[in-house]
Amino acid sequence: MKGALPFLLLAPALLALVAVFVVPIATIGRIALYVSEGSGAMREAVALDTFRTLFADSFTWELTRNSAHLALLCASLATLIAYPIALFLFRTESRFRPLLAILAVAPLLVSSVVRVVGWLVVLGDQGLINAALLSLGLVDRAVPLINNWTGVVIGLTESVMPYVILSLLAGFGRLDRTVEEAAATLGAPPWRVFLRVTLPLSLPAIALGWLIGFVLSFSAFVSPKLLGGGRVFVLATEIYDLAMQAVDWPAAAAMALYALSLTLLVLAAYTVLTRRVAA
Amino acid sequence: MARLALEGLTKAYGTAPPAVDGLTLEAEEGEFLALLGPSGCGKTTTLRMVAGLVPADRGRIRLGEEDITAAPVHTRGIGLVFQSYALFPHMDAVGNIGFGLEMQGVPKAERQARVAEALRLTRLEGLGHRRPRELSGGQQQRVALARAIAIRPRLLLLDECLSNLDAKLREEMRGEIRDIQRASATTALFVTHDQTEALSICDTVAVMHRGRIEQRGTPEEIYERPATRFVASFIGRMNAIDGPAPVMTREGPLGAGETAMVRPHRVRLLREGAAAEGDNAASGTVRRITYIGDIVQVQAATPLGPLAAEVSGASPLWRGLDVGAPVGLAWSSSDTLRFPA
Ligand SMILES: Nc1ncnc2c1ncn2[C@@H]1O[C@H](COP(=O)(O)OP(=O)(O)O)[C@@H](O)[C@H]1O
Ligand SMILES: [Mg+2]
Repeated sequence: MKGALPFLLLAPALLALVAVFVVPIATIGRIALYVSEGSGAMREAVALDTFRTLFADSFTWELTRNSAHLALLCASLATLIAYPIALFLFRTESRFRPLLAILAVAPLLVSSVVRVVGWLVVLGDQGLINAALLSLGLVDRAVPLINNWTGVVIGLTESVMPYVILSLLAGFGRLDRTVEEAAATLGAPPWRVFLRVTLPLSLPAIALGWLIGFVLSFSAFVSPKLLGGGRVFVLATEIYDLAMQAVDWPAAAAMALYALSLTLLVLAAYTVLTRRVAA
Repeated sequence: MARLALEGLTKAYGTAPPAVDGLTLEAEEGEFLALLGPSGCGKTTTLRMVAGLVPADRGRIRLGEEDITAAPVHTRGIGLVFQSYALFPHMDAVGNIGFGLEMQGVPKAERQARVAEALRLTRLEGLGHRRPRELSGGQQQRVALARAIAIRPRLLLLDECLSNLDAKLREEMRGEIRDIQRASATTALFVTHDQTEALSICDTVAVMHRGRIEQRGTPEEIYERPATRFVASFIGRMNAIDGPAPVMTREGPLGAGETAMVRPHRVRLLREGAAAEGDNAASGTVRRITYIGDIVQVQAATPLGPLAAEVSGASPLWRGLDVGAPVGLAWSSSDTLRFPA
């Protein structure tokens, strides 16, 4: 009985995990092995036809490149912008610190669709930025900031930033003010303290924050779909189009599994690399 | 290697009473000065102001001929050994010790020679390529010390740097720090709350209380001629007798609103019936007998209040003495200090 207790206590969590994660993925895995007929009908089978078509299609590779490119760009931008913010939040002794921390992650409290609409207002041709640029005479025509890659990168970077900030804060464990002070007493001016002590000690946090930003951007759907204006094609938007517009479920399922395994590959690479560095 | 002068140094955190309150103190060139005081009296704050890590609200800091009150930390050339060591966890011992030299732009060959020298001085040969987490507490302490002296600082600051070590290692390190400081003739400020530590290794002791220096002197002066009631009771053990009472002190009879103080080892223990010698005496009954190392302390209740006398453990005086037994206590007025209460 004693040995069974931990399992009993874990049971609800395990059941939930099975229900919302294992079952859907298994289902997708099953559907990916079905065969789509030319008529659009789906035939039950255990066949690799769909995967064969998927990997033979050069569009798959273009989508993969686009997704990776977008994720790389957004994760790097988000980490670059989030790092000073997280460092400030980690260190400030201000009594407003809790408030500032909430502000930094406040976008999480807003639905991603609402946030995208917000970006439309800011980035659109008649939006805040273009209105300002036009009225200042800095440009003659509205700069296209939306319905293209620029818009997606801006929106997606913003939407993953709270997660990056939180990961950075979680990763700053080894950062110690007195160690930085020690460097200063040894003759290091502030910028050298940063380069020789602060930055190296926050590398684990940066790696973690970047990874979270990458994985989230890689699988993001709302920003590319709504801010890309139908001109930005990534794996996530294509999976949606295959499933909902073409109603080719086996193809959508196969591509979903492919995208998922790429994400797992990145996570595995991160684990191996951080193990190697720590050792 | 310079003279340090602090003049009216003041620092308050928020609205609390100042942590350091008009502190004035001088350390001569090459002097090993202890800053001794109870926890929370402002020692660390003082040290941090000298190092430049905390700005002073008021007052001046002079090092040699230079006023460094407002100088940025990295330009001061002051070695600081932190209580927590604050070693760079991502560098090995060599990297830690060489860091300051690298910042000073010392060429690589010379840097290596000086790091090797610092490793030798702190008896860390062979451990140069270990990271801090691969070193014991005592070894980490040595690396911290080596790192601070490698830059040949004008002033060495040590903040309770021995308090994380066990008793035996602490005693060993005390001697080593003293030797290293002497060999390099560096002016050093050694912060501690441990009086044994301060009295045993420093040339001079400055006793600190509530953000101020109460007394500065040689260990002997501090112990034998405490200037204030606080110093008298903080350093070593003391009997206190509140006046008015029939007690003669160095400075005259004890009046109302005054306190007389005498060290227990200056109080003689007399068996019942023995004639009292000396100009102060009291009789009472034994309350407690305590061993303190090779000394025995006998505490007695007397009409003057509780008084303690200390005798050698080898002495026949206390043998056969039981709680409740009548005893006499006698002490000389020349050993008795008087302070306003
Ligand atoms: N960063 C700080 N913020 C607020 N109060 C502080 C800070 N550092 C020290 N203090 C306060 O100042 C007083 C002196 O502290 P400190 O200099 O660390 O004393 P010591 O080193 O003698 O134990 C203490 O009452 C402490 O609580
Ligand atoms: Mg302290």
